[in-house]
Amino acid sequence: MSDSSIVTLAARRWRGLLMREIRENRSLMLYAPCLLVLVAILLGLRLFTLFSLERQTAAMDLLFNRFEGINALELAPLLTSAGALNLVFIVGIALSYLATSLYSDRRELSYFFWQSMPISDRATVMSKVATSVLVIPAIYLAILTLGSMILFISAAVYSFSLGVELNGLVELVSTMSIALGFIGLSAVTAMLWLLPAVGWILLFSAYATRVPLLWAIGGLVALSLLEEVVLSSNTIDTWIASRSSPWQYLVFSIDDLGARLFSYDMLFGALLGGILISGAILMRRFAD
Amino acid sequence: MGRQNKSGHRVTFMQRTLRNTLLYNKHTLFIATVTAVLVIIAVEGRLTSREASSQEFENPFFDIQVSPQVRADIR
Repeated sequence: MSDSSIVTLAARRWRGLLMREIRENRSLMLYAPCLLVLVAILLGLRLFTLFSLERQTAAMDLLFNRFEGINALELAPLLTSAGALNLVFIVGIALSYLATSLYSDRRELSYFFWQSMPISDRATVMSKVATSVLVIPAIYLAILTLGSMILFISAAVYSFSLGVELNGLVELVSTMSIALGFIGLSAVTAMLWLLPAVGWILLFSAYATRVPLLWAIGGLVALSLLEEVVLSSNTIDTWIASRSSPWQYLVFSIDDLGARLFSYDMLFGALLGGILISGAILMRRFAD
Repeated sequence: MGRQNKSGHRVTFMQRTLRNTLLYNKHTLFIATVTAVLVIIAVEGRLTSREASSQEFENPFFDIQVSPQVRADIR
């Protein structure tokens, strides 16, 4: 078999594995982001309608004319900060997905079907990691972009009907596009940063006989408390607290992206995540 | 170099030891994985004198420059 056909076969297999994850978790990966974005848009609209017509006109004038002549790259970090709440949703969706992924495989006994296929346990588990790190942020970003576009076009049409000039339209669109790009990069960086959490939850998903997310959180809290009581130290707490600042994964510029991805803390987190993910892969040898 | 197992495959000493200890059942594997991670965290924390940084609000990547006039207005 030639090298190109091996690569094509591997690409097809991976596409199949990722599509399987999307198909089996449609409600979490597609419907939940749609609902969250829709609720955010409706909340924004509800707040906007609370203002009088004069204030609405002034707000639209500020939105569409204040950005005229402004460098989009300088302003994008402000919009990125405003959109940082989306990272909480992305991480929440990814961790919920991971908690149920290997567990539901065992519960539904589809685990035996997949073991009978020519797909290794490593490929199966790694497809779940790739789904949480890449696919979920990508789907969420696509839905967020669509929602933002609909909101933006509606606002532009409404402003036009109010007689507001749209002089800063191009700059606003550029700023929004760059900010959405930064949010996407931040989401992937955050998921890579959280690889130890990804591995921890996957390990419990492969091990626990019921409610794996509860066991994962409870296990961590219990270990931390046990350490404080028995050893009078707080290494686990300190380690978690040293990696909990949002500035460690919020991306505001492409220049420092390389430094973030290959920083000591990122690589050390990847090492721990790798050990935990390996544990989850080996755990699939033992059928319940 | 290695003995044969029941199915006729050669098994090295290392593989046999792993199967009889860490890979004996799902509980031993789980405990071994968690212990390995905790030991690495403890050793790394000791070596690097790791400190909590969640209370630091200073951002090394992004700086908001607020003009003195706006700062005065906020106050």
